[in-house]
Amino acid sequence: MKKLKTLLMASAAIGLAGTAQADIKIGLAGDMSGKQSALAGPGSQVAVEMAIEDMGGEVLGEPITLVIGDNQHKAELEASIARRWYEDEDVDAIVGINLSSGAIETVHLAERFDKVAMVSDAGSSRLVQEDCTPNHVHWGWNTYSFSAVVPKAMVEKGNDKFFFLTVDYTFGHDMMADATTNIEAAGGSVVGSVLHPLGANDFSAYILQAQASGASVVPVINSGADTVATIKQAGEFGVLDAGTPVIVPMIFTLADVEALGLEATKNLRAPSSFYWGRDDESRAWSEKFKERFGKMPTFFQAQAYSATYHYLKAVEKAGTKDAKTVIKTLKSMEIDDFFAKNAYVREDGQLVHDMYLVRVKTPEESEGEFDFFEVEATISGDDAYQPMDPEACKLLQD
Amino acid sequence: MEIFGVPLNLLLSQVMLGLINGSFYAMLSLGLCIIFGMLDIVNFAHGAMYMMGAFFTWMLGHYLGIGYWPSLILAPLLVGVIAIVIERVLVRHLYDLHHIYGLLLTFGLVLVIVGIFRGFYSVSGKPYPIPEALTGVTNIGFMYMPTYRLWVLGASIVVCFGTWLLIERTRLGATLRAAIERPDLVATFGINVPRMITLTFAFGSALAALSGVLAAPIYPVNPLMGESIIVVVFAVVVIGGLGSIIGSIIGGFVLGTLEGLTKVYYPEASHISIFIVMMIVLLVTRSGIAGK
Repeated sequence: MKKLKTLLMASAAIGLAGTAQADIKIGLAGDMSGKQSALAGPGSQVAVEMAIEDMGGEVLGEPITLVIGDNQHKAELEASIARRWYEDEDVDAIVGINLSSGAIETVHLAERFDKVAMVSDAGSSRLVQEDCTPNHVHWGWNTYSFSAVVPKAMVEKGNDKFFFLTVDYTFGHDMMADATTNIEAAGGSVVGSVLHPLGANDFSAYILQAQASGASVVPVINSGADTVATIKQAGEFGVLDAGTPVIVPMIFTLADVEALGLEATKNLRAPSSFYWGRDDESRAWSEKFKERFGKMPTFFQAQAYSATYHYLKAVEKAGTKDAKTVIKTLKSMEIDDFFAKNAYVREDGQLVHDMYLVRVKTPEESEGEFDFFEVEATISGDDAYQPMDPEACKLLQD
Repeated sequence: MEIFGVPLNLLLSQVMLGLINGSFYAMLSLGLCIIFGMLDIVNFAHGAMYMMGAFFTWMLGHYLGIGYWPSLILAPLLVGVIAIVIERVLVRHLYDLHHIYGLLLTFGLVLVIVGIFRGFYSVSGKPYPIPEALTGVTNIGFMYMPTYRLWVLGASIVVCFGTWLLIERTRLGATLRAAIERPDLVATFGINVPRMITLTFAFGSALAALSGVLAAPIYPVNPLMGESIIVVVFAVVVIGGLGSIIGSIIGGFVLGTLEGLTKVYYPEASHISIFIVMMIVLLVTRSGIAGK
């Protein structure tokens, strides 16, 4: 019996070793067809394909394959895709992952199955605090770094009372907590908040509550179609023209401006981790992206490229696709591409890089298709991201 | 003055906004209810008709430079024509089968229609401005209401009760109702019953499209816009009593208001308030408030 067991284990080990030598498999998980699919979705697929091509389609002499998972913006689907990929389909690394609640589950699955997660969509700062793992990196923006961009600029102009209009799930709650910290640090105060369900249709009721609160700034913490509806209706109620309270969409991409038009969004300010027209380098990559996708990249799509590219670079440098080794390599290697400027991966798994405050151009200022934003300020990553928290993140505890 | 800790003005404003959202529920559930009542088809594609109404409005403006006012007629007409084709080619074969077949067919249609629009226009949506004549806000005593929303409220009341009158109080409506009960008998009077059924399907769909046109300037115009509203509308139809026209209309307005009130007192529950009512109504009455 004992012999049989040993034999079985040995053959299982050979089997595993066999798969370990096989090609590098990357899974892009995200909302490919649902309400948020314009933010990342099929565009992220193009970005990831570009990253694979830029590596010559192979690493360590093995071909790179890409699989796509559509979570339709549902957390439970996200987690089940991750589980299937890691457990049954030998996916080495998952990139994208666009719902914070699903992303938290995914990174713990990555740790359990000893695979890699490169979270390039979801923003919860918990991913590098209580949910940090040795198997993932949070590549790009997070709820803290984005909420650090706006308050200071607002308070300096005398707008110091904030009222949140927030979507009611992990991302919204985490960003509200992070934004509160940043607002108080900047000398402002939070006078109230209202939570709305994901995928609400009419936001006028919430806008009225925000107006009635007497706040001078209303950070809108939601994304995609929710943001589009909020801004459209804030315009309808005359809030945007009046300028009080100041409406600040916290997740605002080219796709949202496209859906609303410049006239309806002019002079709105928002945080961003990337803008295609930032400099020559970002413009050059974005033009290539546009040739293939027909549109300029959103910051999510740029993040998907950068995450994939650096993951593959790390595999190459480490000479193995062993998950923990690759993540360690990422933390020690130089990070520099058109997306991530002044960047490095911190011990807790956060990619720290420059953040931007962007302003939507007026129709007169805009010089062509997708010329939507002007970068008004650059905030260094060290100032924008939260300090590492040894009490929360287990990686910092030994 | 405050009511349960909410200033009266704010409360009245929320009731008003709820009524306006309710007018969309009312118009959409009315169309759905007519189709169900007359054709016995659970039309899952109703949300797609609403979406097409809004999208055609944008397309008419974007490609042909046709403004909002002509679109109010043109977009529902276009959707009506599409509905005629769908009824003649597909739906008609299912009248003698169980409800589930109609539901499956129309659900499949939603996937196809939405898929086509998503393929061409992605999900991010298209901008549509409020028509010049209705921009700005109007002081209605307790709040400044966007003028456009007042127009939506007025238009939907006229459309809803006009439709009710047409079906319940005119000879045409009487014939239609008779044709549902005894198509064979009505046909002996020389009335073309199949054509009548086709036109009813087209009319119900055109009503959805009209709601779509009204929605275009204030809600995001994107291929998925029908999906988010249609589930609520189904609940409204169930609460109002399946097939009851007046139940759908009043249900739409009342439930919109209720949802508005939930947004003030417990916003987190605003999405489920209507479904809670649906559960209670079904448990108590089993056939909806005005159902038979």
